[in-house]
Amino acid sequence: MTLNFITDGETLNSSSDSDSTNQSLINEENVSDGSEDDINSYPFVFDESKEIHYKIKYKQIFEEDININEVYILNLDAQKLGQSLRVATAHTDHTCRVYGIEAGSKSFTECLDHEDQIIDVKFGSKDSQISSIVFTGSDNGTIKLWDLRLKEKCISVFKDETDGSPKPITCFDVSCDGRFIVAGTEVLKDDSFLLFWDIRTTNLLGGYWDTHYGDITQVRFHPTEDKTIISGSTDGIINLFDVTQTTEKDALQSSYNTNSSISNLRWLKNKNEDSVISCITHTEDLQLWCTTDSSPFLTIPRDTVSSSMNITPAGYNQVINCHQTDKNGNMMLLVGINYGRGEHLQSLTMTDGPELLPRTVFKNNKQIVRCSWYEKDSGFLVTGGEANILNIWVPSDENNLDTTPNKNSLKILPKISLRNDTSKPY
Amino acid sequence: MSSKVSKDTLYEAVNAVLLQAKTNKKNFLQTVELQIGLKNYDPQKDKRFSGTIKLKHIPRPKMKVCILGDQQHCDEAEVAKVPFMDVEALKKLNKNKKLVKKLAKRYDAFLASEALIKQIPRLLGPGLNKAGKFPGLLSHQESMNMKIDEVKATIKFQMKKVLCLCVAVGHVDMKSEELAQNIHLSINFLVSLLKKHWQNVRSLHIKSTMGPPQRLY
Repeated sequence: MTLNFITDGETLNSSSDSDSTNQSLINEENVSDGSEDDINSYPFVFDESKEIHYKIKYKQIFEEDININEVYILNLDAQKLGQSLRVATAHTDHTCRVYGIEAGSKSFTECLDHEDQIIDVKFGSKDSQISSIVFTGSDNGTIKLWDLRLKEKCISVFKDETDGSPKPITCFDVSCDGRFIVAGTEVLKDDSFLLFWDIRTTNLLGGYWDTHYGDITQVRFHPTEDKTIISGSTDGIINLFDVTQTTEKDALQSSYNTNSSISNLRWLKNKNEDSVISCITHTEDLQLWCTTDSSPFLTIPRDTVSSSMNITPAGYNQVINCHQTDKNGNMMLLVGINYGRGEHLQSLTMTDGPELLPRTVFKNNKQIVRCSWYEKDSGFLVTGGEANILNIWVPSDENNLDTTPNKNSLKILPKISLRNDTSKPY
Repeated sequence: MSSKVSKDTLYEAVNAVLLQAKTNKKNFLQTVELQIGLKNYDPQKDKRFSGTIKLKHIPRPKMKVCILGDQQHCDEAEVAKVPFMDVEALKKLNKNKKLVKKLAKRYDAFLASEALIKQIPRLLGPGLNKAGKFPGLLSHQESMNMKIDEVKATIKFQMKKVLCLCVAVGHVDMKSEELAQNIHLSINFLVSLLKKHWQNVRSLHIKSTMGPPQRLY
């Protein structure tokens, strides 16, 4: 953002004549009153002089619009086997919906009710099977384990009441072997907690409360190493723990100072198959960290994203998520508009440097997208957001054969139904 | 993005704050803070309003920054009369919770050399993290004094559950232009983070520590 106000010649001129300035101020107020209804007339423009070539074309194959005023989808998780897709969405009306989707159409819907705001939703073990296990966490301090196959769906409840009342949970994650849950909390009497439970026994195993100053906003188990977790907070610090150590002091392996406030953390891999942490901040910047480094190896400020999207002026865009696009360490950013209805949704291919290349524009998006899931082999993208709409997007057939997955071969794979799924991971 | 605060309104409020502070001198340096009231914002659903802004002029000149340095940085700090500690001094704290807490209390912020920053958790335990003072990185490519000024010029903001936010944007010994620039920069930055921009802003005030608030918007 520039200081054009201070150097703006026009403003300087008008300031010499106080009457005219007052007049213009009143006008400005009138405009602002009128624009209350006018939120969708965008004050920004896409620079249309540049013709943008989006490399990969996508089409929407599914839309579920649960039109309830002021209800958002803030989190989602999905799993995919062949053409079968299972999506779980967390809505701000305290419900979680699970959809079975076969070749683009709904095969079932389950609604799981919570008492309070749901802060995240996750499927159970992520191996080759589609899991019937769903975890939901709520800001009332409980995490629930549901089994979709059973009539009485909620099986276990995890909470920490050691201080009398449950702690306000903000995020949680499940370890890759499906044995442990970790949750982060807001600051409660000067401490923000990381809490651990054993999924089988539902016992609270312990916690850390000496490593963050602010509310913990993100916690992630490493996708393949059960012992490694990262946590992020509004204090701007990412902490990396080895949870096999007996004390918090010894468990803390590294801290990374982002000098901001952390909104989203993910584990990704670079070209050399090393673990990379992607961090999106509340000021809409992206940082990528190697776990061995003391500064991010790549920082992409909000303005860079904005100009890569061809939007002027800056200050209307948001970074939704950072996704791995293949096994060779390539990544993309899902970005959108955080203003008005936010219909513009697109992805940008990341390069080795700060340059971002247009990748896909998602036509017919109708909302400010807040959460996404992406599967790199098929290119499936699932999005949810502020109009309570769930969308599924797939690469369209117009793309070259080498970028389009062979749909016919996928169709041969057996469809997974709820009844056939008899594994009991808990 | 157009600002809804005219230059005149801004300068009027800034001068009123500065004049008030001059006529009612206190025996400490009063901070000037920007107070933002929000509307149509739901803390449970909307994105958190939290982060940092780097201002043009240092709002808190008295901030104490300590260098946790390698040999080269410690030598540099000694010459520049900047407080510093080396690895040996940190080792002496022996992860002792009380001593680390005391160190954290003595300074407002820390900067560490690349070789040290990775060792901080092992050397000091989580004490600096807990105090919200885990160091920033000081590399050999940048000037120490400039980096210290950058730390001093960077302010944190975070909205809790109430719909208002206060950020320290300056002090009463600043020139009115400097204060106005900092305020303008902060307002523009903060408003750009709100989904409905100015339509999320209920009110804007500036105020010195002991003075009355001045309305901007």
